[in-house]
Amino acid sequence: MFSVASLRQDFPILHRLVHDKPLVYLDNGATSQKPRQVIDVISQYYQQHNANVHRGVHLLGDESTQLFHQSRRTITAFFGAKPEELIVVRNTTEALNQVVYSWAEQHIQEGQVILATELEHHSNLVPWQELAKRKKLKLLHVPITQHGQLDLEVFKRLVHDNDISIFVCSHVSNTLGTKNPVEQMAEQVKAKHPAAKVVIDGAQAAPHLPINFNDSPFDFYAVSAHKMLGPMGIGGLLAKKELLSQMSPFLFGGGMINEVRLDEASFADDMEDRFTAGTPDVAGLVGWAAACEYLSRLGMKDVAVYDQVLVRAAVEKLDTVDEVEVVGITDPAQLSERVGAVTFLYKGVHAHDVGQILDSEGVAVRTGHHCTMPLHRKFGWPATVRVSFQVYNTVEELDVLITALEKVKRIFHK
Amino acid sequence: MIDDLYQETILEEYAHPKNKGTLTNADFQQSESNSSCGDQVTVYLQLDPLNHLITEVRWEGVGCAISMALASFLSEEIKGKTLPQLAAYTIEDLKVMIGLDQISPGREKCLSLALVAFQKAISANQDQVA
Repeated sequence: MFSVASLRQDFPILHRLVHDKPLVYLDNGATSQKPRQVIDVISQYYQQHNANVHRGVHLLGDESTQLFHQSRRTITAFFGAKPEELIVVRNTTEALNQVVYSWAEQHIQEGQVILATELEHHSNLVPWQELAKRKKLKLLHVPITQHGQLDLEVFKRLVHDNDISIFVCSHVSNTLGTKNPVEQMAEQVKAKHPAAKVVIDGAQAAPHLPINFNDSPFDFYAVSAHKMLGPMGIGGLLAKKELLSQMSPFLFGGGMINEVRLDEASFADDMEDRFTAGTPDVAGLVGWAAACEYLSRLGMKDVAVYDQVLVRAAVEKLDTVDEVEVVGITDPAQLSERVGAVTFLYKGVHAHDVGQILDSEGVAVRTGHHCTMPLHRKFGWPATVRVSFQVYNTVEELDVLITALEKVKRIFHK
Repeated sequence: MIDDLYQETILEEYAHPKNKGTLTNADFQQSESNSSCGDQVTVYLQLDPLNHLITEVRWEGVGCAISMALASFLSEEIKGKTLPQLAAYTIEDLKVMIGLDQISPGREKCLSLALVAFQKAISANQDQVA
């Protein structure tokens, strides 16, 4: 197991003060901090190698192109995917939209059914709502139980009773941290509907769990670099190789063409080029690859084990605060199904106020609806407070959180 | 800064809000929400038919101490004002109202939620204003 104390030295931002207090960064579900190894490689790229890819015949152009391809290989290897199976995009949201425009738009017909869930992030819901409207599709949702888990009995019925064409689901819920049994669900969908495609939002799973895309029953898997120690503005859609040839580009322009005439164009045969219109974010991709290497060195199995330590400690410690109600999975026997985040309500105090007071003690958390309005509406929560973890968080930091929560009580419950 | 934000006057107003409720025969009604945090407020205004001054104000909503306290403060503040006077309020006026020098960009929307609702209510019903 890695040493948290020593890896914390890799993250410059963890050593700054916030309101004269040490930063306790527990908003990793929104974005993670970046280690020196990522920051340096991006800076190094701009200082030593910067040139556009696939264009110039000069040395810098070659170096940049080589770094771009090398980074793609590092990233795809990290996810257990083939090098050509990565479509480089800006973030998970864009990746999910890519599935809609590049695949679903051509292959889905009026009257077909999309199965989603009630705990999707808006980015894995709104694109499908819009597609459903455009193509007159039926959009169904797997409900969630009181503890924020998908109701698998209803899921079975929905799969049995409907002609499912697309199943979309988050691997880990960004709001509740629930790890959904996506492999099992994907297999059930495909057993009944062999032609159905499975689209997984992996934004909150990729930072914490080992992923093996090629061994999975998933057709598409969407991720963002910035939640897994990489830079903002870069992400990917992993798409099974056999599907790539069935997909059409939806961004057109330079870099993705084969031959262009005044009135028509043909598109690159190389799938890596075909879906990358315009100049890509090479530095971002290089930074993302460095983040994958960093996490690989720690070992994703150990990363997942350490996340469980933090999740369990957070649930246990928050449980000692009378005013706090942890939502989602809290049963210790079930907590292994909770990943990366613990979310709570504070009795009588709005989440925003809790967050602001925690900030005054140096503790950064996320407050609000976390882009899951339907989920909050279902449970009647106006807003919640989410603490979310990364490898550099410590159990001691959770004690700082608990102490900071006492200040909420001092201010509001005088 | 945290002490400025959670000063006694705001916490007191939040705990004991004024003019909370609905008006069934409101001249103006408007809901407004803060999409980033889910705070929500609905405001109701009634005018004096003769002099067009704001006579009755009610509001209801769910949100943080800042947005709710401000809705309460404003509901008192704008009584007896004209519609152009209401339209002229700015976020700077709100800061003065509660004696706050500065507020973080993340909380500005909390501060202004009710004001936006009141101002939208009257601008969405311009014909009635005239």
